[in-house]
Amino acid sequence: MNRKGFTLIEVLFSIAALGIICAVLLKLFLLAGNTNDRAADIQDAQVAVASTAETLAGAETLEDGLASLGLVPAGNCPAGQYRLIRDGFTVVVTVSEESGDYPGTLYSLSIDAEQDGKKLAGIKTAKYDGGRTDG
Amino acid sequence: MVKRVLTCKKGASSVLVILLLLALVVFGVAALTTALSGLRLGQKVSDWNESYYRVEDQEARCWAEIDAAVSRAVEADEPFEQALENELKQLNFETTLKGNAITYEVCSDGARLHVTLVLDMEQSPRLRPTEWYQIQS
Repeated sequence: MNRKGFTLIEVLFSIAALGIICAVLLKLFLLAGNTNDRAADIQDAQVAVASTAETLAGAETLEDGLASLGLVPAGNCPAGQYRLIRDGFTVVVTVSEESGDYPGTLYSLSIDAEQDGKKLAGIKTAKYDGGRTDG
Repeated sequence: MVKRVLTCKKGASSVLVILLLLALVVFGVAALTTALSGLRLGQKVSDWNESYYRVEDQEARCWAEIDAAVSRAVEADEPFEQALENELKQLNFETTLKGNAITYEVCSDGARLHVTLVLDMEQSPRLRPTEWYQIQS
């Protein structure tokens, strides 16, 4: 009788061992993939926040900046909360007017980028609109 | 002895499987390390952005204060230049007045901004930024 080869138990045991090792490895690769996706999302959200902030900062007035983002204030004052979709993120711009004895208006800005209701990046800054205009 | 081990084919498939698993472990760890580095870099960029815009926040507040000082100087009884110098001295941050240029620096969490505003006196006094740069510390 030929006794060379493996018994069923040996084969099953080695398949189970390989399966466990492969499952651990698969989890490692999935974790790496998820971490990569999260890193990419954070960096893209930063770009969305920074580009929104620069659009508002570079405009002559805050109203002009909001208009170039396609946002229209509800009343005369641009203070309020605005939402826009930028690079696949929901960018929430919160504008509030700061009190102070200034010739112009000092606005406090909070810009956050969200995805699926989760905040990924955010900044707080301010913009001063000088009160005097030429002429 | 060595020749016998190298030419023996028994267990060769096991050696191959072990080598394959080792290679997979190495690649898995490398992929995870790279992904974690990317995440750390993203968080660092996020921190830099936050500190930059925080210093810009302070800069806007300083600009507003200087604008208010210019307004008070315009309304003062003494000559404008003297009044402006006195008003700027009373601010709680340092400014340098040279001709019609007002220079100041703001810093927060290691981020520093250097700003020069030029006073345009043609019709009504108006401040225009002419120099605006970040200083790396």
